[in-house]
Amino acid sequence: MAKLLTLFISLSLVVSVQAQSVDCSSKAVQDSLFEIYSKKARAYGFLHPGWDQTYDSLLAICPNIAEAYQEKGIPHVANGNYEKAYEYNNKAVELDPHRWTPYRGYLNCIYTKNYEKAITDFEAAEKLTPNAFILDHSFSFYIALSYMESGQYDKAETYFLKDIAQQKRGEGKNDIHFNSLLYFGILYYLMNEFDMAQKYLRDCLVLYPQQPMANYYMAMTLKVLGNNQKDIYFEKAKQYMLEGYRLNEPNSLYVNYPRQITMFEIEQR
Amino acid sequence: MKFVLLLFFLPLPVSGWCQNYILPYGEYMDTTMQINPKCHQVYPVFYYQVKTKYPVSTMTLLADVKTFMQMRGSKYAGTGYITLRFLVDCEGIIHKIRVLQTDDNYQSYRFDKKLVNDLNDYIHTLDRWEKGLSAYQLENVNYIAYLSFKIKNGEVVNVIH
Repeated sequence: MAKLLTLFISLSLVVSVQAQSVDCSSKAVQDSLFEIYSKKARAYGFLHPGWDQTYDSLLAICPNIAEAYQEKGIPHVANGNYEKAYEYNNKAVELDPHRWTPYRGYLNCIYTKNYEKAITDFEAAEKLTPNAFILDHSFSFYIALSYMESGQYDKAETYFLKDIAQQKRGEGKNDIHFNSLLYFGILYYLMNEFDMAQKYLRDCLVLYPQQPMANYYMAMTLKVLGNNQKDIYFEKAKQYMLEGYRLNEPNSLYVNYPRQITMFEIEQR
Repeated sequence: MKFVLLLFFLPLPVSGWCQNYILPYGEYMDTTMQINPKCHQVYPVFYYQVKTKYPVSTMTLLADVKTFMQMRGSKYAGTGYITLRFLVDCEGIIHKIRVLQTDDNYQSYRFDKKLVNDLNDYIHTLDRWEKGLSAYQLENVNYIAYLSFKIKNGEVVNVIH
């Protein structure tokens, strides 16, 4: 009986000391713990059960670490399990909306093509963290893509202009991201404004001449205009695609970006 | 008599008879897999580990599936996502098809069985999967891929792959 009592008191003390020694409300503590546990999880890789178990261990210590939920969502995003993917990402947004609202907007825009939700998330994100970027682009870029894919071209144009203005901030000497120019060109192609389409696609090709999509959409624009130079651009698109040049966007290995093409479309010319 | 009965049942549409298999780890259209002796007999890799996706654009796939569904001539209902995740063997044949379904808010949902069956029939028409791929110094690997169909009021409005 005495031994049992001693054990109980010891265990209570250990639990009490551990609970008191971790201040889960401290961002510094959260970041330190996350660094340790994410290193361990990445050693497994996100396909291994150890990935989820590692983050579960972390959340058992501090259940309010938003990044751990976002990381738990990664395998489900990659494998098309949207119920789980958004369950975890919604929890991340709930715990840290400043950081994770734009990421959920990105998932809605690029992965699940849920454009209304993407616009809602990015508009909220713009209020929380104005003029910020996620995965190489401004929030306006993703809003523009969402409007473009919803067929609301005038609104898409407004947001592509905002995206470019945001990139030009300061002295206005920054290069514009070549894929902002690509998609602005594609938008004008869809709007049948072929002069503007050529202008932006040409600007894109100045920065990234091997971009297969820019060459393809330039060829398609010239085809509509009856310009025989289309063949040159179709050939370039084919050549660069064969050489392994791609859209060059994060996660395009996992999911197709809007209007992304393959060799099949180039050969259908 | 048996022959007459057989003739009676044969013309019935096969898809209407498909039964899903609800297992503790998921819902499947098809749990069978014939091991192809030409493929490497290891645990399969994922599509991104062999850097492949179905090699046509989303626009092309969308137009294709819309045509297929129109030819079926059925009316469907529901809004959300139907994901079919499957194994592509080293010769481009798909097996062991898992079904994942959510509504537009990514909550668990069940669409009409006929819609799921018709999409399942559609993916069996796809014959451009990359074959004979290598990964981790293994040749002719099988890989896991998926296609998600975004559905709005019973109509396929986008494809995710």
